[in-house]
Amino acid sequence: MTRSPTIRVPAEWLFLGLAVALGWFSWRSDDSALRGFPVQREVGDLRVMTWNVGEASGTHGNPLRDTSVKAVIDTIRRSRAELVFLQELQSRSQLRGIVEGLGGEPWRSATSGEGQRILGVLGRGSLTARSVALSRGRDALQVVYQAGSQAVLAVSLHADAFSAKKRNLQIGEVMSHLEGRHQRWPTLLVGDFNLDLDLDKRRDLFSNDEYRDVESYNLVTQELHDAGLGKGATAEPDRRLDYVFYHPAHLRLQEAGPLSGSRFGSMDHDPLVADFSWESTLSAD
Amino acid sequence: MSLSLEALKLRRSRRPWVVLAALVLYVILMLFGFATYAETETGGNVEFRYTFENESYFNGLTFAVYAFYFAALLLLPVFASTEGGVQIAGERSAGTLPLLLSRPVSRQRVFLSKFAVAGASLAMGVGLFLVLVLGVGLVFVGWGELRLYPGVLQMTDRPQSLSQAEALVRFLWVWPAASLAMLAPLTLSLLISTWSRSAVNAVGLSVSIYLVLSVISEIHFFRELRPFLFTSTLGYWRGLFREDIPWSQIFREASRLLAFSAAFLGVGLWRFRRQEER
Repeated sequence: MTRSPTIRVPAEWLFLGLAVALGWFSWRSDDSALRGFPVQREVGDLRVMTWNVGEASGTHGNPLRDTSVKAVIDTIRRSRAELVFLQELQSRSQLRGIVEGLGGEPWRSATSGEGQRILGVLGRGSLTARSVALSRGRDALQVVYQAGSQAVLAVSLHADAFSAKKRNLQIGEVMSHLEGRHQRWPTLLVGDFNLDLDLDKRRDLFSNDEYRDVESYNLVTQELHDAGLGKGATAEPDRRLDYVFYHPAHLRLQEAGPLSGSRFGSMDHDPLVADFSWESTLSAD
Repeated sequence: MSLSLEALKLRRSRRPWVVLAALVLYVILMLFGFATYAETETGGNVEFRYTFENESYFNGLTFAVYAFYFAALLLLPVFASTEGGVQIAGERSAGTLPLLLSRPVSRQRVFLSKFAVAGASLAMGVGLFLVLVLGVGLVFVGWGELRLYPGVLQMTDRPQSLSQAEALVRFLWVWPAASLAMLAPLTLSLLISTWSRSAVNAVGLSVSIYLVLSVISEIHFFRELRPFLFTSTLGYWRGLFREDIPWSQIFREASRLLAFSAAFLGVGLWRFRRQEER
């Protein structure tokens, strides 16, 4: 009688094989790779874009350079957004140049005022804008945009980059300004908030008061939903600083994400794009 | 036989008592800090600012989450590294390893028994620590519903609330999940221990490597490196506290940690079986 030979595999090879198998499963099932906003998708009822077009060169950075305007125009075209919020424009005339580059009518535009690093808005329809004075820093920009038969109320903000306390006040004042309005309007709050609370990394490296940033973000999300949540970074280095918040009473988020590969020159932000459909229709009145 | 010998050695060792004393001190300090912080934040003694919190936010379950979170990412991995580091190198520096290997027991069995006892003791330690923080939270603060907010401890990306009963069930699930996470630093230090002739060096090197990887995995600039560091996923159990548990993410990250642990264990065993003891 012959005994069949047995193959003995050393335990260390079993462990290493197990490591390879588990590692393969883990990496293969990793769906956290962020793909950005799919611009080819069918445009929803309302496609919104926010973009800090400032540049990171120099001691304190620069507003949008004229040499980068064409790249901004190309990106707006590519995004097919109908309502575009820009931060860090050089001047009102620069925004007019962008409108002309887009072909003029039906584009309308408005800015938060004169001077450097202003906020601007572009819309492919009727647009009414006014500045919202804040006690600290730059004014916010409120816009009523007529999207077809539906009017949208949006506020654009560029919060302070260096002080969490100022950010907290600016965001808080804008939220106070919006209070109660979402019952009457589809409401958006967009812009560069200069805070990053994403789950996977330390946040205190870029904030002088992390806890206050947590307060600021949570103050907003008590009322509004964060369209770009879980969609990845919008700014260098691997930070999510740009936001589109919306009230779910009248708007339903279809898709959102950063439009990667849009930076030109020394820009340090990607545009954030969000597609919405109407959750309910309000009277244009 | 090997298992019972290792268990006996652990019972006679002072290490578990040192760890317990350190954890009790930690909980006392956390309780003090938590109480003073909560009083300041909800007592109306701070300058006005916009806030999302309310008075029921600071309860015993929130305390338990805070206390466990920092311990599981900072303290327990250091204890795991210590436990792994002393296993082989400790025997070697004490001169007991040749004696241990002179018995009719394979090196593989010796190595795996040490790993099994160290792993089981860590799992028990994690469980006891959870009981401790929950008990202290209940006695000194009082339980309630567990509310979590984005940004706070990186636990959730949206405001959420768990009932007291549901939160306690989640704590129960966290026990095996966090114990599994401890296997990676344990096996890494066990691997280092096979190379070292001194337990102090093995523990020191293991803890240093853990801390370096831990820092690197949290800094934005090392985004590309993160997937290759076990420290990036060590806190994967936090997902168990979400209202909607991200199971696929939890399985994926647990698999990644187990892969690291198995690799460290395999290399450590390979090294241990081939080395000559003098």
